[in-house]
Amino acid sequence: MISRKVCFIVSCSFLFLTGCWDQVDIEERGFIIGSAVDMMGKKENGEYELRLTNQFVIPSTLGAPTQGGGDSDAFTNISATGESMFAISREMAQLTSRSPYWEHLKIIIVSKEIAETKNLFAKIMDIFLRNPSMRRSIKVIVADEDAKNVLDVKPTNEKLPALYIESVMENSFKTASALEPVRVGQVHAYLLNQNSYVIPKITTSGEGIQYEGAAVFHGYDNKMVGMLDGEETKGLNLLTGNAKEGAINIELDDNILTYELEDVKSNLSIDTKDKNNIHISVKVKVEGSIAETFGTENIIKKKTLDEVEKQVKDELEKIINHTIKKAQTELNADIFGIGDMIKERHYDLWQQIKNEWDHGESYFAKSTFHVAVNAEVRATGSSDQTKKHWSER
Amino acid sequence: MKWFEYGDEKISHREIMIAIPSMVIGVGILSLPRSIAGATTGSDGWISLLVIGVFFVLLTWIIAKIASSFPNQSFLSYTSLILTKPVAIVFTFLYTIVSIMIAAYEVREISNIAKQYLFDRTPVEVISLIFLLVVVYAVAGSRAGIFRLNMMFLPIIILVALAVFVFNLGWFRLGNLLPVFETSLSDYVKSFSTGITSYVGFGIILFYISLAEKPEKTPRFAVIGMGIPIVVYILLYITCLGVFGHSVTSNLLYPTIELAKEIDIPGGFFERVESVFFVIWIMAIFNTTVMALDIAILALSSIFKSKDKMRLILILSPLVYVVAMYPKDIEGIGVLGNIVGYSAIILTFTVTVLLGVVGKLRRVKQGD
Repeated sequence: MISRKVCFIVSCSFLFLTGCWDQVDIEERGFIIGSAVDMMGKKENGEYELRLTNQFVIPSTLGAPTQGGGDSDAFTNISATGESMFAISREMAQLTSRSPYWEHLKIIIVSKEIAETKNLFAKIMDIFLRNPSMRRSIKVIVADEDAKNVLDVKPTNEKLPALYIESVMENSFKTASALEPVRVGQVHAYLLNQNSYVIPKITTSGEGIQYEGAAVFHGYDNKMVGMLDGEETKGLNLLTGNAKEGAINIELDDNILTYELEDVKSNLSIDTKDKNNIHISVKVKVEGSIAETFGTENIIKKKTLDEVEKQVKDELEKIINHTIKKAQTELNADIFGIGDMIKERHYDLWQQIKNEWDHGESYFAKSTFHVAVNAEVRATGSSDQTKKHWSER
Repeated sequence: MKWFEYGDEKISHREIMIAIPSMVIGVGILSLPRSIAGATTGSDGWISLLVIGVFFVLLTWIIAKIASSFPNQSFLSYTSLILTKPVAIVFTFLYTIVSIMIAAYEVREISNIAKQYLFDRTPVEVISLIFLLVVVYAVAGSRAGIFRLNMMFLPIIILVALAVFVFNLGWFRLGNLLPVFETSLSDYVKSFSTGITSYVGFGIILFYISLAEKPEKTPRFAVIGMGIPIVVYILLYITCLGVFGHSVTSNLLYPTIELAKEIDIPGGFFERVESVFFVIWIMAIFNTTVMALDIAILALSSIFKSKDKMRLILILSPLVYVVAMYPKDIEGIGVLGNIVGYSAIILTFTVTVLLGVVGKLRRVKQGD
């Protein structure tokens, strides 16, 4: 009896132990670490011809850190074109010996043309939000040129362009003129809501890339309406309090003095008494130190410090006001998240104005910003004067 | 082959306390934040979860009070005392059906989720079958063993829920929780109707209290046990909203799983934390399924006075499999889930009210 039972169990187990449906050897997986999407043109049937470029890692050329990996590239970029992203990626499976494996995707680069076409950006993002093997922490960037070019850069100190770009983005906190990286999970929220949003911008420069500025999208049609350059992005980061570090140049007695931002806090309050003229008061408090000066003043004197603080304050207010002006007049896009704040704190008012916030009636453009910066010099470095300009006396 | 027998088939009141959350926490919470957020505005969903929860805690207390006033009597025997024998048999039989359906739903839903996230090419039928075989193995053993498994798994499950919360604090944005108290009354009612199905399962105490050593202590512990899922649900719901925001939460199929996928332990030495979450949550669903099947067997054997547990298992488990495989697509699974949820709630509610009211009117006491 027992042996018959055992026989039964053993023969049953053959059913399940014969193999694993989902087994793919790691050697046969093509790890994708970066994707770039370009638009090749519009077809007659109204659909767009898209080109997807995937960056595959070639593990054998990476080698151990001490051995070095030889001279060949550690990656290969494979492009394919088609109408839908999924169809393209299936087609790509025929072009490579390894089956595409998306779990380690780090960055998605979208070309400017796609961003400028109404709703196309949103359509392309669908597959990245739908595929369960992809993560919501993939970073999204808009390229100021062909997105494929960005994946083709050959950085000298890194082997994989996609990882190089990712680490450049991670370092964005060093300068206030780049946005914090935007993750695809956040993009999901942007696409579902109708508020405007910004996505970081990237351009190639020589061997490497430049990560600076931002692409501005209108939320209601998910279309890029313009770009912010580095200085305007700085204004945006200062207003929202996202700037962590950065440098501001001012002039002190005709000599350049560089003020280093060390801590930025911003505080926004909204006065919604009149919906046709919403008052937004922005209080920015910056703390920092004097990083470099070309002049010869005794900078630890109170008078000099006051002068520096005043100049920094004026400079920052100028930068912030310039960004606000651009957002209100040129772009008519609420990139500061004011709409979100009204929704969160004045829900009834938001219900009235949400459909005409930054288009149509444009309550955003009609609102008034009051910017007040408070700058403090916390430290001056380890020297008072470093030089005396005898020749100028 | 010998079955290992535990010394006692009695359970303590603490084990009742653990069994309730083990039964209630199942596949529901994986998609619960979506349906709650879809019906409410801002972060008001927690109010719905709390209100429904408190209502069910009250119901649990009443059930425990009634059941514990008939110590060592099975559901069938005390229901026969209060509501006459035929009615009792009908209710016991209905409980068998609902329990089979609960087990089937859990099996199908977890197989579907496992297929989506873990086994891309393995057929759902095979995943379900293997899961069900493990469940059958657990049910075939001693009942006390099931309770000991609960005792072992529940702390781990709660720990993982807490870990999901703590490791997501970095992505948490308080502004996402605003605005508050903007939901209209009719929306609250709508969210109640979607929320109640995730609290299904507390009815097990109708059957299990008869096994308790000290029945008089069970009401208090049952209430504490029912409190645990409320806290876990609200915690995970608020985390979902804080991390994803309202609009994304209401558009993710399984927000709680996505929450686990968001976890990114700094340093990069441990990635893909969701695999751990999956393992633990499958344990939670395993417990739910095991107890559902066990209740079905307990109920049926009390009707037929059958001592042969194995025979009942061999009859019921194919039934569970057939019901589990019945829905064709994700929409069908949702319909099955709703049928299971509502029928279980309505059945337990009716039984409780009938037992309570008729018991009071007829002044049925033990020994009458």
